[in-house]
Amino acid sequence: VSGDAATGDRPNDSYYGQPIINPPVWEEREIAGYLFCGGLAGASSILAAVADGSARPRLADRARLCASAAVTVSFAALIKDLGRPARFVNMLRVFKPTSPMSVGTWILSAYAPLNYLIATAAGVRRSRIGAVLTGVALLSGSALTRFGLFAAGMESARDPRYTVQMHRARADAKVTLDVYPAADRAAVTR
Amino acid sequence: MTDSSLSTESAGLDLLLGDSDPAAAAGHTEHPPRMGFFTDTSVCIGCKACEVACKEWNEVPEDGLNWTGNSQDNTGGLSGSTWRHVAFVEQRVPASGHEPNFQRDDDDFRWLMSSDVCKHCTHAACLDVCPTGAIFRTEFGTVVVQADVCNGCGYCVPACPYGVLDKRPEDGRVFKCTLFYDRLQVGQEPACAKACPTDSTQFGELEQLRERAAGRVEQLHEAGVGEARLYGHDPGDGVGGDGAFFLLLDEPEVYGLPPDPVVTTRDLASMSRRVGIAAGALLAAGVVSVLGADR
Repeated sequence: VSGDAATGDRPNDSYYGQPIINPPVWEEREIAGYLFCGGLAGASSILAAVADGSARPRLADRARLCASAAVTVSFAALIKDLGRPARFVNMLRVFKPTSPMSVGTWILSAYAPLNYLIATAAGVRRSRIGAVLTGVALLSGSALTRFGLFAAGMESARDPRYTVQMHRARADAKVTLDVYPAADRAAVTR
Repeated sequence: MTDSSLSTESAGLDLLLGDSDPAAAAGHTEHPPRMGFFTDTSVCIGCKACEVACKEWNEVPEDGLNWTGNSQDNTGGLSGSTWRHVAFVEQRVPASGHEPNFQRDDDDFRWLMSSDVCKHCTHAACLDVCPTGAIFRTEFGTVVVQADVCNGCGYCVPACPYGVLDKRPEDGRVFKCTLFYDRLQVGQEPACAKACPTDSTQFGELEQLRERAAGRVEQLHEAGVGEARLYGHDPGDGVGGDGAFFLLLDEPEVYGLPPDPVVTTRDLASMSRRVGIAAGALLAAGVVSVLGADR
């Protein structure tokens, strides 16, 4: 009896027509975009490498720029699609050959920074923009340090930990003194 | 791809296919016997005590206070917030007279009920593909998701051949049955099995459960219930056998179970080969398009 009795009022070849497997929980734009941009970046890098090898510097530069842009979008899309994007780094605590996603994440994590580095180095070598970028980097580093210090000051005022810990340390140091009568304190501190 | 080509293809896949002792394969050198569930649906009365016990103990959030309209089913299927699901199937077929389930007296009608749960596969694709290591194999041979590591990438969701794992949308992470890892560690029985009033859901050492299940099928066959059959008990099936297996009274798909599940990572080797070919083609195309072009 396979439940398909001719008198059956619904077909019994599924459970109320419900799917048996769960469909992926990925967002179309993010994951299709991640795959496309990742492929675009990889192909651009191949073009850049061949262009370098055959003395076509302009093509190499452009291909590297394209690869950098594409890998950035790809990476951003991958992270955005996680249920907990802040936990992206959890994928860097293990390397699992049985997980295409683990392999892909490691490739991306190695490839993206290398790509930026090479693209920047090649760009700097060939233009005055390098000098400008260096200046901008120095100035923004300096500026950001000030903003960071300002934010740290605000944070230390808001968080009671920074007040209590300091006071506690001071108070604990004083206990030694307070156990003596005032008259003797002079003798102790002396 | 056939099974025989697998064993010779890649030693790395031993991780997936090597062992009938998954706890040892996962590196638990000294470990307790493999534990599991045997769900004898022939005595399930559809009370949903297992669903409630699971929710209570594991603090699984509410999954919707609704009726599906499909018999007495109100959760539809397993999800991130439904780790036990009781299926109800109404059939207009002649009841055998030995039918252990509820039935009407005067009509050709029978009612199938079954409490579904994560199968804790011997070869678990969810565990294979998890890129964070959040999913791991316990010393009891069960498969557990660590909520504090999971980053909600969702790769395990389509990897599961049974459609068990799913994302809890309001949380972003993936949750499923833990086979009460916390209770097992202190020698306690899973709450779902403990709450089952008819012993439809039985917990124990997998080896013993398999023997008991074989005996039960024989008993039912002798009683004239020829359609009784086991599901997920065979270590030779596509997932190496389930840690949670079933006695069914109809085809698996009637209960919403896949008839021939296969661990999805079995195709990794052939996939990798095709990726390699595609990458080679891309490389060649890149070389040809640059070198073949005018400067």
